[in-house]
Amino acid sequence: MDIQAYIRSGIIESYILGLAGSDEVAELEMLRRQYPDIDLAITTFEIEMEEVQRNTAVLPDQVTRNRVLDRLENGDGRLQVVSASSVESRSEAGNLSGIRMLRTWKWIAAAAVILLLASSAVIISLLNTNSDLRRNNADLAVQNENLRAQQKNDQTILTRLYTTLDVVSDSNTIAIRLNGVKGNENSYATVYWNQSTRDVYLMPGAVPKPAAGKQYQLWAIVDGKPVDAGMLGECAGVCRMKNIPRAQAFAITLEPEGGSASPTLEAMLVMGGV
Amino acid sequence: MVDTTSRSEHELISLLKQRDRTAFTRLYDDYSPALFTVILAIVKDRETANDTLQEVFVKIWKQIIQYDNQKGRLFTWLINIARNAAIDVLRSRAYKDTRKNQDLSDNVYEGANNTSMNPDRIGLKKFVERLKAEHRELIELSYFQGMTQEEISTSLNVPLGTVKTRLRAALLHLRESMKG
Repeated sequence: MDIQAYIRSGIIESYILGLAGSDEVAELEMLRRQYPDIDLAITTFEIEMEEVQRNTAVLPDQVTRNRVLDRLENGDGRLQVVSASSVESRSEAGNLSGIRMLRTWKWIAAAAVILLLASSAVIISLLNTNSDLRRNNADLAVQNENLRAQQKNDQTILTRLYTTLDVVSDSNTIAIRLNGVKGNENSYATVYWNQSTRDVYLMPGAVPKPAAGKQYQLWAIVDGKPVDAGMLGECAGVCRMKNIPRAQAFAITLEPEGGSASPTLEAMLVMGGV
Repeated sequence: MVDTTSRSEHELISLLKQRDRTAFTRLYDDYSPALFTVILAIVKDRETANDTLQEVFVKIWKQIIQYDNQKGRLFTWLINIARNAAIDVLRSRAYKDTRKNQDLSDNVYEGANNTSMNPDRIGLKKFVERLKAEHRELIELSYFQGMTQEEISTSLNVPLGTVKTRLRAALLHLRESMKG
């Protein structure tokens, strides 16, 4: 299929603007997973649209903001303050006689009740705060974890990309283009073979995603015989394969996940001579 | 899929999925103008557009759990929710109140010399205006009025295949005009 023609056809613009039919949508979503060029073209247009639409935007009424925020689902309500009126009070009039004494004691009792109520309220307020703080803390911990995971992910990708650059620009490395065999004319990949270390790296160029349970396997052709050179996994940039001392050609076949002892020749995707 | 989303946007999405209200406020402040604009361009009446924007954000709040970065950028997802809501409103209102629609588009903006307030000049409309009539009409009917290609084909009495090809050409021209 002519990928460039597909990209230039207007289907991508149609898709992003929400105008594509369901068949077209299904086809595009499948193709974008297979062809990085299509995926990139889609994202590029998305970014263009975002920029234009942000730059030409007008503002809604201020009151709308208030209304929207008020309507938010309130799933994280604050703890209800427990009513403290159930606190009992006891007069300690005991066996004291005299009205004056009784009144004093009543005052003391009343003061005690007030004090108790006040401290209950304080305790409850502290409990609320504590609970909020703990929840915030948990939230922050989650955010922190997310950020760290993201950072670690970025770091890994960055490291792999630097490796790619090193591999590709090393003067000891030769590049061998593996072209699509009959039936897979649009596929290609590149093997980078370091002639001094004999390390082999593979950069998938246009390689369709394998079906579930299947995986691509690289072979080195040595004196007419295929030698396993490793499985193609997920890699940003180049994939490190096996070390191959000698070979006259390389090929990729589609094998069951985990690989095969010898290649399934009918399932060959690409091949290239050194 | 190539991930072009910034780290802060990833973080925002993650917080939204955790129902973080501060994140939602940030989302509103950042995206509401663009969403409001597409809604206004479609419904043409400011009051309706403000009401629709509210409904859109409620919808976003409910559906953000389902948003999947693998399917596309956040902005695209949000704009499509807004556009679809606006079209629903347009089509239901049109059903009820055809005459009122026409009155509104005549007199509400007559005083607005400021082109940024005219719903015929905001957002993408600014660029659609520059296209030739044939292309402009197709985008107007499909994007701003929500007609399917079948409906357009019937309405304009043009073969469906022609509608499809012309619409795609129109969109390509639109994209070109956006770069100018």
